[in-house]
Amino acid sequence: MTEPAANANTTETRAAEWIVARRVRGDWDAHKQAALDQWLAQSPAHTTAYLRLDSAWERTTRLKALRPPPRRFALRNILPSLPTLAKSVAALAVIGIGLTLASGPERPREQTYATALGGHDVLKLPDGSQVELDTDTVLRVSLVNKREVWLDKGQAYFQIAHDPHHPFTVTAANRKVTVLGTKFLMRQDSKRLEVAVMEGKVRLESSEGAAQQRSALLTLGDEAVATKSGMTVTRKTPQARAQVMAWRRGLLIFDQNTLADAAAELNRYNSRKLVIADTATGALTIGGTFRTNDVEAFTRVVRKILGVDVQSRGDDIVISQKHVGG
Amino acid sequence: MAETPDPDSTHADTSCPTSGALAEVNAWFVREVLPLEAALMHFLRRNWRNRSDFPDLRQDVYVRVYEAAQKEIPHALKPFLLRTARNLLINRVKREQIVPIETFADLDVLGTNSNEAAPDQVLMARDDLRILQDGLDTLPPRAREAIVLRQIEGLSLREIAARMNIAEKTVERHITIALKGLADHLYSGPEDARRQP
Repeated sequence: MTEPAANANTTETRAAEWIVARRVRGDWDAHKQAALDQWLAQSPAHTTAYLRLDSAWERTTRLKALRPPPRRFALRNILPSLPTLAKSVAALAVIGIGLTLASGPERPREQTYATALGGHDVLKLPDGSQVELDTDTVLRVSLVNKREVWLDKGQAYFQIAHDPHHPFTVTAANRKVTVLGTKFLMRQDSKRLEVAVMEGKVRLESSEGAAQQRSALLTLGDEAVATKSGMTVTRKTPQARAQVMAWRRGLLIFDQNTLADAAAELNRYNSRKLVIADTATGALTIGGTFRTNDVEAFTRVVRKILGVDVQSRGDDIVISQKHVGG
Repeated sequence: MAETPDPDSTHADTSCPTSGALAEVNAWFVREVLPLEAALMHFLRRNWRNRSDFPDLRQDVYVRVYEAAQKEIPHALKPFLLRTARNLLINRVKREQIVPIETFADLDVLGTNSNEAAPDQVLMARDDLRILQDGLDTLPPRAREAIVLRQIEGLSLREIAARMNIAEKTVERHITIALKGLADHLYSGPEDARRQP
């Protein structure tokens, strides 16, 4: 029963491929046009499918003018209009403990930058610093009197231009990172904040916790994990540092990570969510390198290597352990 | 209605029109036939249960109408289109000996007062933006992202591939899926014609 419908769908797919080849790929020539003409002449089904999709493509082109630029691209439009303030403004402010944190409602001249799920963007600031935003990340920037940004959620890699007179601060929840010039990674979610230093020094301060835990000076290789209950600092191996930086290349690297953790990482990038059926399945360990956006490759590998069962359930993909025998 | 050729007799046509005439038929098809797709799909939905047959039925209707037009452009296009669809359904019922569909009452309602295609086209032009936006929302996320980057951001295939971190071939596949989904949305009408997986 579905055989005839598959034929129409196949024809339509082929027609769409021709349109993409001609209108998108950019290497269209007389030779290819001749091949298209030949395909069209083979059947009125080809012609009508092609005409239908091609005119649909035209209509989407016409609509371009009506659409406002999407939010995540706004940053490139906004940036040139920002004053080059970090240099032009006199040393008005001294950054120190006790300055307002991210709770005040009034934050003048502040810009918000956000990436979508699976998004990845580089933000170049007027002071020469650069911030690379990972998936589903919100960053606010205020460079009016000082170099100040807020990481509201997500993950970002900061490469801060050295300026001893203007410390650069990043605030996440009730914690603040202060630097003069360095490279570091910050990740903020509902439970915790992680700061990993790739170059130079970073001071991490907290307004919560016991006095001796409120401040830590982090150097190359240090990773601080701050939760509600406190802060721990560990030294990362170069290998582990490469692992947490892999997203900048669109990759996720796992090395004896639990399946639960790996699935949670992939879920940060994709709308098709991996769901682990039970804790025993989630405790299985997995290694390997995966594209952040390739859920299918990941499920293929875990099915093969861990022998788990992978089932689609609506938009979710459920991973469970196979029940062997009875 | 009487002056239009019988749709069932047309696909035996083997004449080869000149390219000029072909271009004219093509332009006519886009301008006159495609705006009637919503009416066609409405008719199919009312009279045929198995939705997975719709793409095939639609293709067959278009082929017959297109072939008829190569001989002579039908004057009363909408009744002609719907009659073609009805005949296809009847033939299919006979051929497959499946349980007969109850009624084709819809055909008269749609067929008689329907030669003014203008309202459809006016509506279409005005609602393009809304329909497109709705259509984008129904696409798989990656297909949506690819078509937005291409058609709204104007990025090249290579730039899209870099941005999405996938091969250019994969970008093309996503755009293909998006184009088919958007065409269904633009022509078949928002509440239908999403294909079954």
